[in-house]
Amino acid sequence: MKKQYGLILTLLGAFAAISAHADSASYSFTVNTSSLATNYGYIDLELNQGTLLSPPITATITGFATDGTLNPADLTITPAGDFSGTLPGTLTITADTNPDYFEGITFGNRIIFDLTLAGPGVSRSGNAGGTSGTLFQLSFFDSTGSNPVLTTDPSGINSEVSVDATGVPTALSLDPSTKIIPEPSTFVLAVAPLFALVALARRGARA
Amino acid sequence: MRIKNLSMVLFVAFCLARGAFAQAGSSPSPVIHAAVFNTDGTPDQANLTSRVTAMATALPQLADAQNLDVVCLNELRDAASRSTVLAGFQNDTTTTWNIYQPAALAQPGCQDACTTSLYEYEGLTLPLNEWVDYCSTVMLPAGYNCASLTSEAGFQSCVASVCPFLASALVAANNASCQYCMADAVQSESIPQRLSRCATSYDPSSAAKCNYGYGGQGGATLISRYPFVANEYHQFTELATSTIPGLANWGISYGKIQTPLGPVHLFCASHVTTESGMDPSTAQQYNGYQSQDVLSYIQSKANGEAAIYLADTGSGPAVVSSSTGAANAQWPGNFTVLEGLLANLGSNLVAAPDPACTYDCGSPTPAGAAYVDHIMTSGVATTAQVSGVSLIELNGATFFTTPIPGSGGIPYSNHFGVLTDIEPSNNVTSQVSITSSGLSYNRGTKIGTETFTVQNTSSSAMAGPIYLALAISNSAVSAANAAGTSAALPYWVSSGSLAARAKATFSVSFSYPVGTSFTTTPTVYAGSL
Repeated sequence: MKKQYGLILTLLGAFAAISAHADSASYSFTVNTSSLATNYGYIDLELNQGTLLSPPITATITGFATDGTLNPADLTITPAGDFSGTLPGTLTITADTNPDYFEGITFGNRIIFDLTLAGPGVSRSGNAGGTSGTLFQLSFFDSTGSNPVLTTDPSGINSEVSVDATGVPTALSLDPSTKIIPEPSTFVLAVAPLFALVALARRGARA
Repeated sequence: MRIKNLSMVLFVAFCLARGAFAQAGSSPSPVIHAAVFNTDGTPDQANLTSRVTAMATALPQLADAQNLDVVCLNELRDAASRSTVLAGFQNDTTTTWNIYQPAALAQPGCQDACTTSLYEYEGLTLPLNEWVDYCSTVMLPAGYNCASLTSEAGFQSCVASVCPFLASALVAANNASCQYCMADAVQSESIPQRLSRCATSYDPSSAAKCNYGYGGQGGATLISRYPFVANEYHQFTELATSTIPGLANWGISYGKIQTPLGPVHLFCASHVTTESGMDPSTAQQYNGYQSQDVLSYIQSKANGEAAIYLADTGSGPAVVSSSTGAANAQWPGNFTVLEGLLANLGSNLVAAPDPACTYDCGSPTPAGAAYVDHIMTSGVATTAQVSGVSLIELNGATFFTTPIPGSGGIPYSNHFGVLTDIEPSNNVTSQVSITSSGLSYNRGTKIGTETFTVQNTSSSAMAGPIYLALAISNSAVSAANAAGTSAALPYWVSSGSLAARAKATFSVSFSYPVGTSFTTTPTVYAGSL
């Protein structure tokens, strides 16, 4: 009986958590850069609004790590006002039409980081109320800075998280080199109620 | 001489304008030619028979000459006279015309309406109801009586000639319902039968049921080159609930047509005036009510689609005479109400006489002349929707006040007709929802791509193709994959029509340097730009 209470509490807690964190979404990115190891190139991060009305969104990148080497001397941030911090530290991007973080890197075998999208423009229930969405995009370029690598996408994008005009986010890897996994908080929030219900149903069936 | 020269100049200018349209005719001309005429065609107006006979020839001829698409004829309240005029359109061998004329409003219980009050005329004293009967049935030297005439207008003018005192005597006896009963041509009822019904005796309770003047006949006839896909008559609400007896049947004749450019909603009407048996202040008040009614009715029928209001509104803006400096505004406050929703074309009046007016323009006083005949639009595209509003011309002469040839100076009407060219709305922006994705930017090519989704939120399908035009806020940004430009704006095309609730998507690419900030303002067109 106590265990059943526990499950119910878990269930309620999960729903409450979903409600409380409805305006953020977190993802873990893992990029296999081994095909470019030792090559010099660029990492490109953007958070692009559509051109109609997009409610504000910020992207926060944390836990950036690589066995390659970033080159802070070869860093271009445009426009500077849309960015706070630099990699590998915490980097925050405020969505705009075309904010661009472009930094030289000697690739290693792997890049990992966590991405959190937050703000009124993110709404898992689809109530953001905008008319334009926002796109977080990750791209890589070769040493010329013009030719995209690690992509088969016509726009040269490696992977992205698209937030539609209603605020619902969708992650998409456009190249096999990159895996995007919802962060535990996001993942749990999304599926925990389901697990809890299944468990409750099984327990009820045994009883 | 001056007037002739002016007419010639105007006519030449008009022909040149037409020529410009004809040259543009290699591609579909996005124009509806619309006209409104107040015929002054109520049975109590002078020379009606000869005037409607002349109109039957001249109006279709004029409509063909001006390539009119839609015509609103006002105040043809006499059924026989109206039939005469409309026969001209029906027999037109040049154009097949479609006509909508609402049925007369029934007046159940309208009988025994002429009072028995005594009245003396030239030594003979009779109850007024018997005067009505006498004036209608007395044998005239020519060997016939008024009641034997088959034309309603002929009958009415005959009675007025035989007994010129009768109309004023009935008014003095506060017995307008007698006149309304006498004008009430109940279907299949002969004039003698009507006389018997109205004048044989008098019953105040039944007389009160004679609610509408002119036999309940409507005064708004809608004619279109395009077939009507929907028709309806909307009686002005305020008069329908009025307790004032004998008011004319005032309302809007509505027709929806499907043009090559999409649906167009037509509204034809005339509004109540002081000539309707009301004191001026009441008439002005009711006229204002009708203006409000017009707005809500058009909104309910057109729902944002192209709408054309063709009307004698009985109201109008002040147009200042260039010679006297006098203004001739007619209930401008009521007119302002209409301007609240409709794109008033009044300021575009061209070729107006001096002082500018459409009614009683020969009147030397501003109070007599008025600019009351209007063509208004809503849901039409943009600023270039109108080529100008012109008083109707035919063969170089300004219609209607021009004398009928061979008539000894009788004009067709005391109103000018008004004509304009209207570009219907293909702008359906108010009937769609538009959303877009975030921009996907290729740093290498400097191309940003955004997917626009247009959803039809109306209840009816939109003709294709669907066009998305974008105004871009930053001049450093250019369209990279537009299908073309229109009015200096790039546009993208989605082929096919758009069903109700259906969506069309547009992949829109822009070229711009890294870090460029900009927005877009979309406009959506259906069918054509």
